[in-house]
Amino acid sequence: MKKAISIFILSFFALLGISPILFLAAGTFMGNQEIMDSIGPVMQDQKGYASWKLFPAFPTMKNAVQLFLDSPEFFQMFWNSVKITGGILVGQLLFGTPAAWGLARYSFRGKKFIYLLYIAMMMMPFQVTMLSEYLVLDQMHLLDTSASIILPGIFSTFSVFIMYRFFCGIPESILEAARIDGAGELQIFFRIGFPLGAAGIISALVLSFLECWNMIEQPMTFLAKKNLWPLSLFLPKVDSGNAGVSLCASLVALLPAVFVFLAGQDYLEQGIASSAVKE
Amino acid sequence: MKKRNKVGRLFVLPSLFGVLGFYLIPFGDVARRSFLNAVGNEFAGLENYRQVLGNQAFRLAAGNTARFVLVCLPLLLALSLGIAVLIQNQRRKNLLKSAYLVPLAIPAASVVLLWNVVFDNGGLLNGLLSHFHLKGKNWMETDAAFGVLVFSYIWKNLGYDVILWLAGLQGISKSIYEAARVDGAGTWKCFTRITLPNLRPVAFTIVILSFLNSFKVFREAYLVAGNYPQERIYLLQHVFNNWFHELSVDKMAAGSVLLCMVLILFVLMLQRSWERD
Amino acid sequence: MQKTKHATFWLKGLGVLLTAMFIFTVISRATDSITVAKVRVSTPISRKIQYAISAEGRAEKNQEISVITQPDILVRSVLVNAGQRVEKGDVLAILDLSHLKEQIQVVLGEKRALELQNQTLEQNRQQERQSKEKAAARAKSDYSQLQRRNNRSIQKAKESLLQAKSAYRKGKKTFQKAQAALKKAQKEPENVRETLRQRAEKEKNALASLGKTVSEQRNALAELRKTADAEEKTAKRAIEDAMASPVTDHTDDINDISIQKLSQKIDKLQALRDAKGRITAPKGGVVTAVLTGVGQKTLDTAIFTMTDDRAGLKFIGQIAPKDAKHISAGDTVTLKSASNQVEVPITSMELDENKEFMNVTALLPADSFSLGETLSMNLLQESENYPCTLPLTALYDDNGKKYVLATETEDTVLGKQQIARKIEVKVLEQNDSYAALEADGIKEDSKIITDTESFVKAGDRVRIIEKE
Repeated sequence: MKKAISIFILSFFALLGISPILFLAAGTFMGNQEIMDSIGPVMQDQKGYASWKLFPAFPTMKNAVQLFLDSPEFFQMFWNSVKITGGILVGQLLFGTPAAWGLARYSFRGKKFIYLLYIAMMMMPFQVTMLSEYLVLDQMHLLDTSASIILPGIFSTFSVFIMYRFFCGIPESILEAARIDGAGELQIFFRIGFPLGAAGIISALVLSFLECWNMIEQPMTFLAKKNLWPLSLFLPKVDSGNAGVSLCASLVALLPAVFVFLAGQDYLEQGIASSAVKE
Repeated sequence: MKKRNKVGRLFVLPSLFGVLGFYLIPFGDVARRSFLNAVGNEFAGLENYRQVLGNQAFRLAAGNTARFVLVCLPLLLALSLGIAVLIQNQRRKNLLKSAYLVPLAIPAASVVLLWNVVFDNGGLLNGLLSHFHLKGKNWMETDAAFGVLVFSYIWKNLGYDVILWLAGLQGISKSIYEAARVDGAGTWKCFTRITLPNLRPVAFTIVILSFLNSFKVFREAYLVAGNYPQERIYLLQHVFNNWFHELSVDKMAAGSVLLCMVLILFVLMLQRSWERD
Repeated sequence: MQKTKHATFWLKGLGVLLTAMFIFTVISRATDSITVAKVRVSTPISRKIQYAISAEGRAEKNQEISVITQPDILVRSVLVNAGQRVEKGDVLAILDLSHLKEQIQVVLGEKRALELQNQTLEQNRQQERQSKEKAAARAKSDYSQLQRRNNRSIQKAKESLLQAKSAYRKGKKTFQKAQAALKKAQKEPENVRETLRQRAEKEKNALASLGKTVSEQRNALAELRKTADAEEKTAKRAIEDAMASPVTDHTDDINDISIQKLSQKIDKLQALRDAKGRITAPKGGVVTAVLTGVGQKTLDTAIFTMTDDRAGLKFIGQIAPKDAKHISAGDTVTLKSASNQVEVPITSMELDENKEFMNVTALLPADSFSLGETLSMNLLQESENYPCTLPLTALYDDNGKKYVLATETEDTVLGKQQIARKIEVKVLEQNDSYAALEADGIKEDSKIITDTESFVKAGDRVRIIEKE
């Protein structure tokens, strides 16, 4: 009995979790008419209540076709997102990983301070640093370019934190052994740090990916030119004319994130878990 | 030793530069500005701070944000802990874990539409309630909007916290439980006497991370309700956002500094209790 | 290992996804460049709207005059043909002289007859008058005689009546006495009473007959009066009849008029005779029609029609009614023939009978063209200078409201694009190729779409083809 209840509760929340995907998947294959019939009460102030079917009564490929063949704007934004996210991830790999390594494996004067600093920076919501970032970017004449998003993103300290945790978990003995064998610090970093800390690096990257792919505040604030906007800002107003297409677009927008997530899920779990366990 | 440690500094340096350049120094500039007027040429002392603290919008938002955090955090922690415990004893853990983590991957934009459909006055939730002859509420436009926001936050972060709890739970060795059971302890006693205390360190991390994530709920609120949403879900981020668009640099600066200090305080406090354990 | 397999699976999926996205990006951009309309644009031009109106026509006779003469005269010869030019005084035709003379006689005879008739009428009238007068006098004396006789009779009758009346009165008195005596004699014996009664009775009867006499006399008087009145009335009427004027008869006046006419005719005929029967042209011009012929009798209508040189020629051209609103009487037009060219004002414009054309008339200056020459009319009418004119191809219509599409550079997701935006306009004036517009949204440097490959609506992206 207890088992049944617990299974029920668990399934309920699980379904709740994936419900948006189902919603969007169903909507993608519905014609506009059907969609408006279902959610008309919400969109157009019709009487009655909205409803939703899991399986469209009249499935159609029209939305997908229109999105993929007829909306160049969608793709422009898609590749913008790819550009921004890719840029940030690469940057985080280049700058953040060494930083995490340095903080984890070495102790030097000021390390504690820097560590605290990084944690503090991690805590700040965007709105706190919004103004200062804006002023700096303006001075650097980076406003309204993709760099205005990418550069600050590279130096986000959250990923450093996650990688740091992982690097902490590597036994010092291995490093010692390598040093004795004559390896330089850089070599140790590349040959030992990377492979052993791979889980942490990957999980940090995955989390960063999710963060970047869904970024909204930064692009909205720093990017004026519409042709630089990432996919997360693709928010057409859903009306009877484009309901199906925007649902399809939303679905496609989340696919890369979900794929990346599923690919790195195990690493992600590890990463999340490691940040929980005390060092 | 020393030399090696110096190398450590080198590793950190590039990142440090970036952080300094993009975050710290600008923030210092902002702090400086918080003592000047909006245009930036007159010294205004603590005038900006007084303005901010006296600003009605700011107060409302601060109150809302605080209320939100105080409501959500415990709720989320309890719920996620409960589910973690339940999952602990299941097979097919991975499938469940995937399902729970999915919300983290779904972009806010995709989700907002669904929230609209569900919580609108003519939406799915009210439709469902009417099925059971219960009167629905106008979720989005009354104080119930707060509840929607809480729901949104919990939905998104449940999986995250569950994983964290699971990690923590896994860290507790089974032997302690067995010993306790031999002593005749029931499930509840096991839970309160063994599980909870051992989860303390994890708990702090979870608190910090969940707290951090609670700020992100602004995104959903903004997408659903715009710059000036219903009263109850008007958060600090809304205030800052609007100040930014109004170019009220002085208020923003002062507000940022205030918020920063509060957060730093919070972190320090947590750090100390973290250290204590 | 499980982990990496799992991971690689999804990574491969991601790779597939990205590739698909790339392919679709290319496809959608390709289709987009095909579907985006290419347009030509132009900025508004300041110009005057010109209307070139042309028509063909001929130089026609401005005025036609008719040549008339006396009717019913035999024509001996006709000396001109239609189209022939004559000067004033040229002989057009010659009438038969003897026939002419005959006609004169005939008319003279007619006139004489009428004159005689009038005379007779006059005499008759005289006689009538006299006899009438006599009759009137007689009737009057009859009447007065009658009156006298009647008066005497009536007088006599009146006297008789008076007599009768007084007799009656006396008789009444006697009767009343007798009655009174009878009443007094109530106590008297029967025979006395009887006697009295009888006497009373007798008196009564006498009274009755006296009364009858009175009424008879009265009636006789009335009768007499009646008769007298009737007779007098009749006599009066006789007088009136005798004095009445005769029925008005204007025959003589009518005849006078006819006589007048005939006199005139005679004069004219005589003039013709004096001119030896020649009909001459009253003015210089061109004969347009010969309406009589040798051996025919002249008509009471024109025998010739011709143009009047002095009146000149006019040009008549035809234009479509829709062009007509751009020109009006007074506007100067250029009339050109093979040999000559003039600029004249328009005299008048009116709708043709069939209502399909407007006839434009302009008087030609003297000696500019000859009759029948073909002329072409050209008019270039210019309106005022409009600051904003565009080719007609730029105008679109939406349920009666006119609009143009202006391209604006807007910032879109795909970068700076040209978007077509609708601007409502009011057409002030237009000709076949341009229209003058008034609109709030059109500025000096607005780029308005004048030509498109495919249909463009507001909000569409467009690509501007640069002018070579």
